[in-house]
Amino acid sequence: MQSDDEDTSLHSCFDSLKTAVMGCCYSICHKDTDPQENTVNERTHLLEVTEQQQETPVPAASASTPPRKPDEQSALNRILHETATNVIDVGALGPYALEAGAYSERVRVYSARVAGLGAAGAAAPRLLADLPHAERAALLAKPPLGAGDKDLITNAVKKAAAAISELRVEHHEDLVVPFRVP
Amino acid sequence: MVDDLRKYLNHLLEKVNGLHCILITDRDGVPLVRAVTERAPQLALRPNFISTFGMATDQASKLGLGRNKTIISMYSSYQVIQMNKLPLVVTFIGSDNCNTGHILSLESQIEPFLKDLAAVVADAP
Repeated sequence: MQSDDEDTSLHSCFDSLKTAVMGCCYSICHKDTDPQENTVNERTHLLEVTEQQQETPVPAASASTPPRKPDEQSALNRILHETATNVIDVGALGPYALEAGAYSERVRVYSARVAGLGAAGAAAPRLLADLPHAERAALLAKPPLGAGDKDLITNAVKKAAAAISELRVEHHEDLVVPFRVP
Repeated sequence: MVDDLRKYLNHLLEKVNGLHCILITDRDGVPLVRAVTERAPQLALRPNFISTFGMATDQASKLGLGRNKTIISMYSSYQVIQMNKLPLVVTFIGSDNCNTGHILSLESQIEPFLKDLAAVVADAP
């Protein structure tokens, strides 16, 4: 398996070298022989590329091939793992049942831990919460509202009631609008 | 706390007409807190029934529609609603004519308790 991989990588290196060398030879020969060097034809590059830039990919590719192999392997493993987790295979799941001993052990552990949570846990949501006796007595012992505050509240409520009683629906248009129905 | 929670779940059971039980379990069906009436089907309270939801919700989450949150199963005389609160699973079992939307609305009322209970399951061996 590994030797096959090495063979294929060697082949790819040789192929890239071969094409690069052929390209160089061609460009050299082409320069020497072609009188119409500066004319634009189907073989001219759209972007001007220097010879150095053309040659650089070959050693870079051959140098980077050996360290890329583990990356490829890990990437393949990752893809394999992701595919395995994404596959829906209900038949392979099979019946699952917890052993009786493990079940009772877990019930025991849970009940002990849940009992240990104490009253500090989340209280049931309620609108009117009970206050402790001392706090309640202190609240009730406070002096009542002043006469000025009472008058203010009474007047505000009277004004609000008067304003609400004055609300009227003003009739402007017909309730039923005909939509050109014959 | 657990007694308060059990009382609260019993209170919820009384509020929803036709609801037979509320179970809070781990994903293997091991109960942490449960409130059950005598009308609840005993077969559906077994861990091997409840634990199938754990697998079903995992598989349903792979269908490309995002994470599966709730599975509602309607039977001839019962309905089972299971909510994915992993590591916890909340199971409601009611009669077939029980108001499903009413049961689903209980989620928000049970949610505040689940954080502490999830910690219990997460710490367990």
